[in-house]
Amino acid sequence: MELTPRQAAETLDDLGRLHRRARQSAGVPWFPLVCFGGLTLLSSPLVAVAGTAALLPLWLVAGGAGMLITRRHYVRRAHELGVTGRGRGVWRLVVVMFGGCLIAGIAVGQLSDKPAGVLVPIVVVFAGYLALGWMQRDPVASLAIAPGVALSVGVALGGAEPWIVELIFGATLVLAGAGLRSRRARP
Amino acid sequence: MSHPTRRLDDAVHQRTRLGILTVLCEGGRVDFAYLRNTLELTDGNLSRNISRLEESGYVRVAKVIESRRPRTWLSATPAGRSALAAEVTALREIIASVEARPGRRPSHRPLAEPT
Repeated sequence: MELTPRQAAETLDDLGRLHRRARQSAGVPWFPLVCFGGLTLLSSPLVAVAGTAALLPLWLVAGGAGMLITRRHYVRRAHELGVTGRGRGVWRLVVVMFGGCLIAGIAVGQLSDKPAGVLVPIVVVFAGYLALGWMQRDPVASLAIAPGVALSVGVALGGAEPWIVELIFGATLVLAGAGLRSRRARP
Repeated sequence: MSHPTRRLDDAVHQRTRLGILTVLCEGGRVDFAYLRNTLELTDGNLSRNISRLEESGYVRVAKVIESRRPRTWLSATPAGRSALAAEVTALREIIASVEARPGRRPSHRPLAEPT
């Protein structure tokens, strides 16, 4: 089997193009940001009334619902497009993120009713999204929530009430998700 | 060490089959129509190449009924992923073997990571 370096380079270029096209079809992870950002926004009034102690029961229900909604979205999308993406690894990561947020939220929430109760889950979400972006080899998706995380952490460290931190973080997640979605829609 | 061209796998080393494996490795589970449109192939051509890859144990084929219509889903097996990775490595080595010659400058731009 003979192959010239030029042919090898052309073949690799073709594979690179196919690879990028398949990755674009598999999509960027915008939906979880909008879904969980919306849920975080909705949790804000509850935290304002009941404090961070309300976060555990809220997220046990809302988090489960959010994952079901997200899964349904991707199943339907895969059915329409005919491509699923790297589903299993991503779902494992999402479950770890969700569990990590709950455990971190409980642990810190037990210690205090201060913004730290919402701060640690934010850091867990950020770490999870960095991992997700790395898995999907998409640095933009990976860093999409970084500005929102920085703003939320800054506000929390500035002594803001937990519900304000939730409000800001939820809004920035929704905005990041909308931004990723519009980026995907570009030719 | 053998020349990189000797390490190319006949079952994979063909542009269409390399393309199929590349799309499957990145796309997860992919349906027949998506693959046909992406690779711009006819049904018959794609079927033949998929059969060859399936015989080699590189792809998994699942025929299902969805919304009362038959649908064929394809995915790469671990052996398929390894075969693609080995092929890409061999192709890179072919290029590198030329670039390593004295007085030779790289003649192409850096390549995207396909796996």
